[in-house]
Amino acid sequence: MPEPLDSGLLFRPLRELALRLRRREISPVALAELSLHRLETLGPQYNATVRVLRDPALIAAREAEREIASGHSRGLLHGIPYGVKDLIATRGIPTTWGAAPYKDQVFDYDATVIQRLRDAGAVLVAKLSMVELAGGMGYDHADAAFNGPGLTPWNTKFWSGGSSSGPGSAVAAGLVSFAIGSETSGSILTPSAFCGVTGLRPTYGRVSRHGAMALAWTLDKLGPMARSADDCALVLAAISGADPLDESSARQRFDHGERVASPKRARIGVPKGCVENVQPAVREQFEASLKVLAQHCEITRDVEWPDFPWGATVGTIVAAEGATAFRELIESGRVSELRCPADRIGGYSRLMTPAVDYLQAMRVRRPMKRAMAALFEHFDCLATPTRATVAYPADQNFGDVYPGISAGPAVIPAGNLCGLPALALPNGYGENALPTSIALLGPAWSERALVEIGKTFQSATDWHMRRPPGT
Amino acid sequence: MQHDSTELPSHDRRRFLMLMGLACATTALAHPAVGFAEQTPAPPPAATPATTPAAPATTPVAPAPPDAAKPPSAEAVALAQLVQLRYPNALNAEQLKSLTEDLDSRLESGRALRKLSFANGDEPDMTFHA
Repeated sequence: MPEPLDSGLLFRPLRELALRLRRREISPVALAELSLHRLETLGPQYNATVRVLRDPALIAAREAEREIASGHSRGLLHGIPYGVKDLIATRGIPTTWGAAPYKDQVFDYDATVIQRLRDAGAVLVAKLSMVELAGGMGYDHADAAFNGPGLTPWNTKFWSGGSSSGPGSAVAAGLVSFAIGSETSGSILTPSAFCGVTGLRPTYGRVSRHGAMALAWTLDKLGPMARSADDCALVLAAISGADPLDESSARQRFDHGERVASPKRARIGVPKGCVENVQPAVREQFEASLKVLAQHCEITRDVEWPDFPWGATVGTIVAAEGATAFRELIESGRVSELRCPADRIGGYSRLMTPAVDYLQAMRVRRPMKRAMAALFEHFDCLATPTRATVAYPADQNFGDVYPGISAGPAVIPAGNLCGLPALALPNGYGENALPTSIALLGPAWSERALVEIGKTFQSATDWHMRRPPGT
Repeated sequence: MQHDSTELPSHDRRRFLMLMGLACATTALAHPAVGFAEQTPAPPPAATPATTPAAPATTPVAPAPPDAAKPPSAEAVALAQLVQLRYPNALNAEQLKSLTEDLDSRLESGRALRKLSFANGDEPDMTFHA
């Protein structure tokens, strides 16, 4: 009987794991077994998983083991265990979208990201929890998934964030090496912040959406959640690129090769008002992070934020596109099977969105993009706290917690409306020992620059390497 | 489940309002035109509400939740009636009340968007291809 692997392995950087797998110091099968064991034993504590894929994972891991032993390497993800948010189609395996009406739904094809990660040799070990329908019906409480609320491994009385709740908690607790989440407006960044992991929301079109649940066609994006910026970049390199099955996918492939030394310091802008009403610890950690970044970057404070109705615009688009995508569910009355009471009602109000409002919202996206592009003529990225607070209590309505706190500039809606990439990096702890996070927002297709700044930050800090208690 | 009629009989309207516990709105809505004329337009939403936590995650940043003490707008009540007409058995009284509040938020979003002015040729950011 081989000695069990050190549980800390699933907290190690992907490059280190890849090297040890290639050297055959560890085996893909043993690594998959470790991940499966942790998913089965620790996963339920966080409601992290919808389904653990023991048998298919071990088949894939054995195949990876054979290939590596024969000298056939598929790259840095070969033999690495990962999970996906359960809105990504996997052939023959239920894909629930986190919602009771779809809990037995099975597709006969794989999403493009699944196919690409299989080609890269990664081992799919679990379908991970999510907020029902990715939050599109207006949930107002953490208990908004058919399998219960996602909980952050840092303190299980608190929410793991949404809607990619399982990817956040599974990565934070070292149940998988990385995960794929999705974001319509905040669903990668928020769980990354609440779980203390690194999340990369790619530029709209960077990653094929084929096979992913549609909530809002013009906003939905898939992206990696992992330990570090470098890990996220490695995963993004494997899943990005054009896909004939997704018309919105772009040709630009993300290449995360050798680092090219930049001749100039990166210019970081800090929007005016972004720390005025955030929790004190969030502000302190953000200021400390800026000091770290200032050693390598030019920081400009009090950058004027473009004045647009960001919240109303993204809300209207998600309402109209989401109500259209789920019209049959709503009109059939099966929306009443959703877990969160607010979700059983929200669809009906969204069906009432006037077409003129939707088109007006789509119209304003052009001047919004121009305004953001003008900002990025002066800055390589903007830095803000990812969230104004630490994680919300899992047993209270969102509107009842943290009164008087607000994020200031609507950076998350703006980034999503304009299709821009963002990187969330853990940067300390706040109330109840819960993680805080800093976000970098860049112009379209600037993932590489964001990752380099993220790597610089993470080479000077160790927040991203810390383990939650009991993991 | 859908009704063909777009007219809600007055007794149904009264029943609807009673269901929602909106007795105070009944008079104002006895004649729809009066109800609309008397309704004070809600203030436009701030881009980010100043006193509420940022909206959760995926959930797009929604307009500020309506003031609980404020009665629902006539427009929101009318739209809730339309929902009930189209989906008569879908929502109970308590849900209809929540729906009306939600509709008020959406109406505020619409008002914020309609304040923007565009040139005739300013197209939505989506392109149709033949």
